[in-house]
Amino acid sequence: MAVFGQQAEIRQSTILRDYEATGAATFLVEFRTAESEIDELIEAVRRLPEISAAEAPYRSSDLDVIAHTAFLVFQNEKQQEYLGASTAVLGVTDRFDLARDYYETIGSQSTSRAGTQLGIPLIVTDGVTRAPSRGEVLVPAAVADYVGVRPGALASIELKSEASDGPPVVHRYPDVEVIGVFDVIGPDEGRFAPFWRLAARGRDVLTVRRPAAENELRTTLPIVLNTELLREFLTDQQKLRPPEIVSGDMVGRRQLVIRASAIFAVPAAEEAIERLLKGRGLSGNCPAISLGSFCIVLPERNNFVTAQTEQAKFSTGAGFFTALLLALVAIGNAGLQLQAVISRWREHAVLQALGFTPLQLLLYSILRLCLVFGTAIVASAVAWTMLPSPFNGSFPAFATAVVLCSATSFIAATAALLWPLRSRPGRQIRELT
Amino acid sequence: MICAKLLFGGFGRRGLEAIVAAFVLVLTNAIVASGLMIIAGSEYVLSKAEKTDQPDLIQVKGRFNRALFETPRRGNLPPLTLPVYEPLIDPEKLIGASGGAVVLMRQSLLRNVVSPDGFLNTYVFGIEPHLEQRVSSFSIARGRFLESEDDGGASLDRVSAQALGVGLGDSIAIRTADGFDVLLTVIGILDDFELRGAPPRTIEAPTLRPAAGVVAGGIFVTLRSSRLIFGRATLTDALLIAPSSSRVPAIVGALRESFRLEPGIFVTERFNRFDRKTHDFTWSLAFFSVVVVTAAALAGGLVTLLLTDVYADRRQQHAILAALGFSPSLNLLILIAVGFCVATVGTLVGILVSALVVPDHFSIPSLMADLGPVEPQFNWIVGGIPAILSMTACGVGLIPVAWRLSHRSLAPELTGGEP
Repeated sequence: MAVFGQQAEIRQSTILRDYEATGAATFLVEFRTAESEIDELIEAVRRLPEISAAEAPYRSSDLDVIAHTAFLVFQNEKQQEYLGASTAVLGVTDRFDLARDYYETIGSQSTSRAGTQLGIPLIVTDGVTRAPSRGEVLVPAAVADYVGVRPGALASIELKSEASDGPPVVHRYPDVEVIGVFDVIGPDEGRFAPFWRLAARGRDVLTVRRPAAENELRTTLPIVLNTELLREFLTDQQKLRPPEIVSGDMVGRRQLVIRASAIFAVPAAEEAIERLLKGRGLSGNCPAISLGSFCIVLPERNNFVTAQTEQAKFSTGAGFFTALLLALVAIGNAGLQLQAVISRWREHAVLQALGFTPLQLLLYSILRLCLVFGTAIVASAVAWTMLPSPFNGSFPAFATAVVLCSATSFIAATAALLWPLRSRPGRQIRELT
Repeated sequence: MICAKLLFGGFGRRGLEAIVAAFVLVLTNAIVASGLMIIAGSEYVLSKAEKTDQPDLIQVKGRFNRALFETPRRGNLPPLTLPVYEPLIDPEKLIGASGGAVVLMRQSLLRNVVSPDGFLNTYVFGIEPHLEQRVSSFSIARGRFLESEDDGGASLDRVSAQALGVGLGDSIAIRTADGFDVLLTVIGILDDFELRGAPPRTIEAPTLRPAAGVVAGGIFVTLRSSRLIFGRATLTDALLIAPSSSRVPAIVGALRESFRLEPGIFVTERFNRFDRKTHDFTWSLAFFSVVVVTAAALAGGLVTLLLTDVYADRRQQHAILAALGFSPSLNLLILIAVGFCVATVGTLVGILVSALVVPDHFSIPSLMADLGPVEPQFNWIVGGIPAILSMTACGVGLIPVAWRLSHRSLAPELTGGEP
């Protein structure tokens, strides 16, 4: 029982640790503030004691940017042919955890209702598992398989801004090295818009997309670039805008991904963040649409509340199976006690005939039972201390197991002891002959 | 009457012990069966998730053929049949590296016909029909689906049939690699189909789902027919069904090793993703399974101990029966019958009790996969394990008595001496 209890405890903490590793201690802050203030804000958040990490990635959905990633698949002196894919883009620093820090809004895009924030893990399957530096990119496995490239290939990346308040801005970054390929676990894991591009003597001649590909340009499947590249692109975009539509400070990133130090610390971390943001003049308002507002959001499904719920499920299950084990111990002990009673039937009858009262006999039997239990407890304690460390848990766990097993066994065994004492000694001896 | 007396008589107080043993057996079986019903329900939930995700599937495909984008949209060009992926996969090499997995070979082609006033593209899939139906689903509207022997036949979806202007029994001409046309007879028209691992759609072609990013329309022919059309045996893509999900990483490793010199071949699997999703569920399930097995072993031991005592107390009866001419095996048969009765009652009543007491729903953590609550299920394992447990306990309990009956004299039992 102690080993079972110990293993159940280990399992419960493993569940929480696994959930933390997949982002259950993470929560999000949607905000609208000037781009120039964001880095300072992130630093302030990181200094909070309840926070273990904070990031503000550049996301396509915030910037209205699409990435067209093309790979050279054929060339001669006259022409070059490229295969490529249009996807979202994600700009990250080296602190960004690809497996747990990418969140996208799914569902409602209306101004009155916040959409659902869904975590989209990016699991690197080939190449290096780190944020790319300038001149490097990580691409989805679906795109890499489609084009037929592996880490080490060179991509030509074209970022295209489609902001509604200005003309499209396009920047091309040639010879960006693919350093890794990742699997995406999310609703758009294979959704990208493929294209074929023909260039003649270095100039684009034709880009062919499949029919109705416009819908696929709105995908959460990203390529991952260095944050500096996106920052530079945004600055250039701002410069290229006509002066009449440039309104004060540039707004870029709109999401803070914050990881609390532990799952249980998330509520305290949320409060601390709220205090910090209000102290910096931002107002709590969901959804955060107007400049200077923020909204704390829990990601859908994988968050601290569901992690605790899932852990509780395990406790309930373990409780059920513990009850089964205890019942089994009680039944077994009752059976063994009955066996002992039957084998000592004559002894009981003789003792009763000699003048011992049933109560005295019961008391002596209980004393003997206690002695047996005591010996068993000592033996199990010795065995328990000799167990390898993964199995012998804390002393309270052992003590609890001892109390539970002893209590149930004692009740069951005492019930069995009452049986021979109900009849007279003469009758018992007659039964024997 | 005499049989009943022979079987159940002579127990004395030990008869009560036999009843207690049966009672213990009932309760332990109820406990074990309850645990097993929950485990069976959990495994059912997991198998449902496996059916949807198919983590045992491995896809091998060549590099996408860029020529599919180049296919002219207008003009006056002769018909073409192009491979969707570059045909780089050597079937012999693939089978050699498959490690016992079922290999579904495919040739995915595009039939492109350009006429002065338009063009018509249709995807052609060379498949192994009986194997393909294990991973893909096909809904027949008219006729029948392709069979392995239908070398001159083809099944196609209703949209492609309409675009080609063909019906059941009509012929479709497909241009082969050497420039001749092969005539295929339409033997079935599909209402719908879901092709596992379908290639990405890059070109205007008839489709059942216009919004889909993958091919959802085309002509299905046998692999032999497609090899005839394509003029080569190498495959464009293939699917492998691993014997079990846990063997996927090893098979993928073997495939990558085998095709390491072919940079244009890509091997993809979904097992790691599925494992990540269901990790917490499978771990908890394994933990509870260990507890149930431990409980079963403990219960079996207890029942064995009790029954050994019950059997041992009939020494005198055995001696009398032996003196009357009963052979040791006949004596043993009587005990076996008693044990069998106890085991049967213990099993049946135990399972009945478990069905009454087991909770309607049981929760096992599954945060990433969201598998929902587990409904306890009854299957042959739930019925079989308590039965085996009971029979084993009764059988093992018999061993000391059987040994005594066959190896030692029963005379001391009659004289009251020590055996």
